[in-house]
Amino acid sequence: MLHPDLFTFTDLQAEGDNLTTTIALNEGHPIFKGHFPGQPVLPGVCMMQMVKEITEVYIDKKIRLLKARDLKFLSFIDPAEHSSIQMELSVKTINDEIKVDARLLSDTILFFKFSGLFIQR
Amino acid sequence: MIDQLITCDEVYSSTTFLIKADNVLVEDGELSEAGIIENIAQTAAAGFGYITQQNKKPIAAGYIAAVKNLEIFALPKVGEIIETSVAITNQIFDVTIISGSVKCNGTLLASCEMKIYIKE
Repeated sequence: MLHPDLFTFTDLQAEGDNLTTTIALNEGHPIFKGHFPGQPVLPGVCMMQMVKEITEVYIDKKIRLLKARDLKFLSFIDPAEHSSIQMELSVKTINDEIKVDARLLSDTILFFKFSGLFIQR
Repeated sequence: MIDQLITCDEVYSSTTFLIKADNVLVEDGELSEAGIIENIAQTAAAGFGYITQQNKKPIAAGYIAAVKNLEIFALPKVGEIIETSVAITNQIFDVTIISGSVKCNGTLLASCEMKIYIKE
């Protein structure tokens, strides 16, 4: 789990299937010391894990990723520069399958686009 | 997030990795999906790095730009060793496209294509 050591999220708001939340990154986390030394960048895979963990909290179920057609990492996240970012999600549950589309963004930058299908564990 | 580079040439690389409980991407006794993707990316990086070193060129940082057609059939458990293979399918300027797969005891766990941006 990357929450709550690497990131925390607040102000989770839902409207229909659509959610928004504000994410705060912990710039002091050891991940940033290795990725990369002297040049901290949030690993792309952590963005993907954040989508999963926030979805799990929202639906109150443990899930596993089955398929993702296209994940796009569009911009670097330097935790010092972007200590607070937004996540927008659309979460649709059909039987055991959970379809999630998500975006990580600031006011001016789109960092990450996710589209994937999870299954309840 | 790899232990050993097993094979490597200009196109293919393969690694092994023992899943340990203290890994930051292990949850509930299994390597997470994010861990699988990172392992594939680092298998590609180990291959690029080895070849770059052989050619006596400076090592560059690589970043995942996109993951396509990801399928995950099962996640490996703590104590298991995964075998990961990567093949470079295309190289266009500073972007390399690879296809990767992860197996455990001969069973396919996951596969995807990845676009890796190499910052010179």
